[in-house]
Amino acid sequence: MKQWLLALLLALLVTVPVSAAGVPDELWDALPEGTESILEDTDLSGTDPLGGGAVQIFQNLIGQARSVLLQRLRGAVSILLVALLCGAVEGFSQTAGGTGPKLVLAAGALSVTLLAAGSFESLIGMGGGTIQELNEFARILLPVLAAATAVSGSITTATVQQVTAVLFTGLLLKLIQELLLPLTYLYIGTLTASACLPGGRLGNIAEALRKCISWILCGALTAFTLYLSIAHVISGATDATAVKLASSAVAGMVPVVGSIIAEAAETVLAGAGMLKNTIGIFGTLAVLAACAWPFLHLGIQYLLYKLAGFLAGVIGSPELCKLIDGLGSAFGLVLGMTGASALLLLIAILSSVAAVT
Amino acid sequence: MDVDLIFRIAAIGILVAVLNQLLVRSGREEQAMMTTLAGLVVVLMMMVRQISDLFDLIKTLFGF
Amino acid sequence: MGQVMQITLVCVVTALLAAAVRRGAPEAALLLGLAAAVAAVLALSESLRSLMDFFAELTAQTGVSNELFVPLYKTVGIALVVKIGSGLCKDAGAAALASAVEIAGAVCALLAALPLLKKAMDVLLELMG
Repeated sequence: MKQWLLALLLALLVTVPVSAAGVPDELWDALPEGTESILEDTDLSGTDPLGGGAVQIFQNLIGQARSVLLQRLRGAVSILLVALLCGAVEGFSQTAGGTGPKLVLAAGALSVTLLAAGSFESLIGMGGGTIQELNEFARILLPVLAAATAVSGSITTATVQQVTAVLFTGLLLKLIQELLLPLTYLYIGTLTASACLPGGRLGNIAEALRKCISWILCGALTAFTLYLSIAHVISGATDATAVKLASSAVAGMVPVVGSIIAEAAETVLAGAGMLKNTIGIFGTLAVLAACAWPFLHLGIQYLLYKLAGFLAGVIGSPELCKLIDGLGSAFGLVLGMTGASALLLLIAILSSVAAVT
Repeated sequence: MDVDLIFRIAAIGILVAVLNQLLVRSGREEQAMMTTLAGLVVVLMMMVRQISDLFDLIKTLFGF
Repeated sequence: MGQVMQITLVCVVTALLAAAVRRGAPEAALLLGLAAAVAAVLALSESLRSLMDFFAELTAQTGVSNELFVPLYKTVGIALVVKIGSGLCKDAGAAALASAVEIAGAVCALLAALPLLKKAMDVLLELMG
């Protein structure tokens, strides 16, 4: 596998003689869907292309946030209504002599899960699609970057790093698609089952599953960053206190994915100073733009479900509240997976660019 | 509400009770028994309609 | 509120009548209880209907299919009938019959809930498969 990849690389190196200045057409072709329009508006030869592009992406997001929020709010309100209905039916059946089996919880949990299922299909599909697109983009981008690195003199560093990065992104994608996404579905199923049964013994298993998923994700990321820092690719030359402050703020706000995003912020901030060539900036912006849309959706969904879980705890049973909260965590997990693959690609770009001046 | 029905049943009950007492006192135990049964049957006939109404109501209301 | 007063009054008066009749004709007292219970529930039909309409409206608003909640309503109806029936049996001094009614109610409630449980199974299997 490694040898084959190396051979492919050498072939690419021969066929793509790229300088660090321009963005080749094949990169434009390989861009993830929906990012072309954002990147076309960005002036890559300006004084601060990275900042300008980031602002562009940010403005784009703000413009869409309202419609996304409205679209997702409908689902959250439906779930709250289910909680309300369950509360009402529960009270009714208790006064009517609730001697029968406890079915209200089962019906409520089932309808909440069914309501969320539509969002899950689309959002998990969105996350998975983005990861896939990022991977394909990486396959084109990293050789080009490696070629640029090679042009500037250090062939061995470039190829070795690039092989590692491609290997890692492929591995992470496989891990996410074949292990973590099914595990997320299993987590949702366990949550539903535990909400159906009074007592909540299964809830512990669901919680363990969730922890397991985030550990695997964080572990994979840590392994990659550890490798890179051993290889002395990234130097944390930026203002350390500012980075620490930013990361702790993010981590405190969004518990599940916080550490991933915080790590990403740290790495990007640390590496941003090194990003001086056009392809690197182009790649970074493309990754950011590709992630922005699913991040917006998943983030809004995550926060809405957490809010709905809290409100459901006020009007309904604690079991339903737990279920809604857990569904929010599942959205957070998908958010973390998308973020992890984006982070991996960003680090790969930074590490490849580090050698280029 | 069918308060009339309840009062009618109560009236029949009292009537049957009095008749029963009279017949028992005059030594016609079998006829006392028959009166009781007849009263029971009459009241049940009156109530069958109501009970079927109740079941129909529950069936339509709770989606059976 | 008015309805509660009405029903309470009717039931108390019926209980008094039944107590009066019980010495002479115990079966008539039982029938009185039955008649009063039936009349009370029938009088509640309008309120019950508006309650169920509200539930149906809420269900429609949430967008969940009604088939998830119909089993619930069925079990509530079963509980209603069983409670009154077993109470009457106990009044008549037939505790064994009362427990038989309760067992029948539990079995039928589970049977009515089967579609819901099946649906739960399907959803879980789909999620885990």
